[in-house]
Amino acid sequence: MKLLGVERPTFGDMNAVAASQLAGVLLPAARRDPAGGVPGGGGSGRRIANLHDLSMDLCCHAKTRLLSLRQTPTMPRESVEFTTFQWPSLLKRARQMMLTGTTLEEGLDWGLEPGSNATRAGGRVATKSIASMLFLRGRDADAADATPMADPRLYPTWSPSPLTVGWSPVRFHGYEMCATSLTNCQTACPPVGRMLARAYQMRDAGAYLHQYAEHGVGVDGFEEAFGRCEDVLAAYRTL
Amino acid sequence: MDGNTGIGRPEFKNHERQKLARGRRGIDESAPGDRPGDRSRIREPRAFRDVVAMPGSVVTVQLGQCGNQVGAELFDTLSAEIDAHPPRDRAGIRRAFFREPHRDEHDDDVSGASTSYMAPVARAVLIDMEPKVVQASLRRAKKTGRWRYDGDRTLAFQSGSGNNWARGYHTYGDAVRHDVLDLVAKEAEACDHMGGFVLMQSMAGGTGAGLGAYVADALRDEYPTSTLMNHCVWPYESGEVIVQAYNTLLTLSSLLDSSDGIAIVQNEELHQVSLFFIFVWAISMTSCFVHRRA
Repeated sequence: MKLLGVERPTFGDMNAVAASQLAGVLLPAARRDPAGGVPGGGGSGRRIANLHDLSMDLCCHAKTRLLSLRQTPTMPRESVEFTTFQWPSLLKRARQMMLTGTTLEEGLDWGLEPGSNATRAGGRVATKSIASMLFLRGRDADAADATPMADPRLYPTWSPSPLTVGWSPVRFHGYEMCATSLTNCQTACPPVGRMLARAYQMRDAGAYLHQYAEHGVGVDGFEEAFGRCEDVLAAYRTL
Repeated sequence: MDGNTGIGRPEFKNHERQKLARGRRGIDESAPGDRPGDRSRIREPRAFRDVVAMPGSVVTVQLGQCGNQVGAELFDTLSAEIDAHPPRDRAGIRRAFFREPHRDEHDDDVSGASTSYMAPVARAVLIDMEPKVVQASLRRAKKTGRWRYDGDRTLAFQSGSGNNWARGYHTYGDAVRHDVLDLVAKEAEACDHMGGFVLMQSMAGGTGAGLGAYVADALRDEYPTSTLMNHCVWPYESGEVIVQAYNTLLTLSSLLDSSDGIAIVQNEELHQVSLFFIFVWAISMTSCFVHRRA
């Protein structure tokens, strides 16, 4: 595919996007309240102990451990200095990305409301999340109002602390402000479902099964793996 | 060599467990302050710098071609972002992802400027069936001059997994278990406070997916209390590998047991974001051109 005479993205371009998302989560950040304001409030300002907190806050159940990474804004470094950033619009976009279950900030479906189901929203279904960690980096990251991301309609009622917010005053990727989120949500379920359909088709046709059997994965092994993936989908479907 | 590791490893494991136990206690002590209603343990808010001074170190394991490429990109990004921090904070944050090089350390013989010899060393273990991918990552890191990999933390063989998950998991997994755990243990031992592991892999192929799932299981056995996070690249649905549906589901099902969190990153969406990058870049270039002519 060619766009304006420019070639398609290379794996290098794509890896850079993936690395940027992950770095946005892994770099140090301090905890704060979703509403903003670091002083006061229980535990505010306690450092996020990196990976430990990721697993404690996001993945409390064995079957629901599928996470999605999102970052906004995403743009080439060359464009950064010509762009104005505002926390409210960034966070509104971050929330809509989460709600529509996409990691793309372009072409967002702004009509979708939290809690909509297929009948009300014309086939579009709002994505539910179990829990989310939001990392705000840059100017005024300590004060930006992240309550739109804490909307209880985005999460199931039993989720104890659905949103964790971390902040850092240091600019990320040269952006004046940047929001990265790591969310335990239904986003990965449709691809898993499609992959299952494809795998069943191949298995039923007996395709390539002998190559796996040679190395110790027989029909039972496949059956078990597919079953466990079905269980995961079922667990996310009940949200 | 074998006798050496046989004696060394149990000692290390106890030592590591104590470290982990200390780390966990430290975290648990401050946890009650987070619960609403429990106001007894609230501490005075501190400046950002004091709060984030000592993040736990992360040991990264890069598996397969995709894992090695994304991993190199990650350390490149981290290295650049750490430099964006105020000078007084850099050393503390760098410790989370890089270690200081030892003077007596064997420098890998990959060609590169000798100035990078004292550059920080990524806390990473590089594993692939084919040596060329690992070598490319080493070279790439060294070329930056800002950071590098440790050439002694790599494992490569002369044959591929043929995109067969079962071959990567069962056949190669058992064969390399000892070596992989040994490399990871050396890297983990070099951390003052180990914050956990990040495994980077693709889900479609044989090495990253199959061997990657095996390594996740092995690390879970060896470090039962450590946090283990997997960064998994989900294949294009149009298909990169004919058996990717098998490989992807086998990986997912296996990681559900071993991983604390499976971050799934879809190639399709990375592609779209990159395409948008190129689009914006092209637009800005075009408008620059127009301005210059005007």
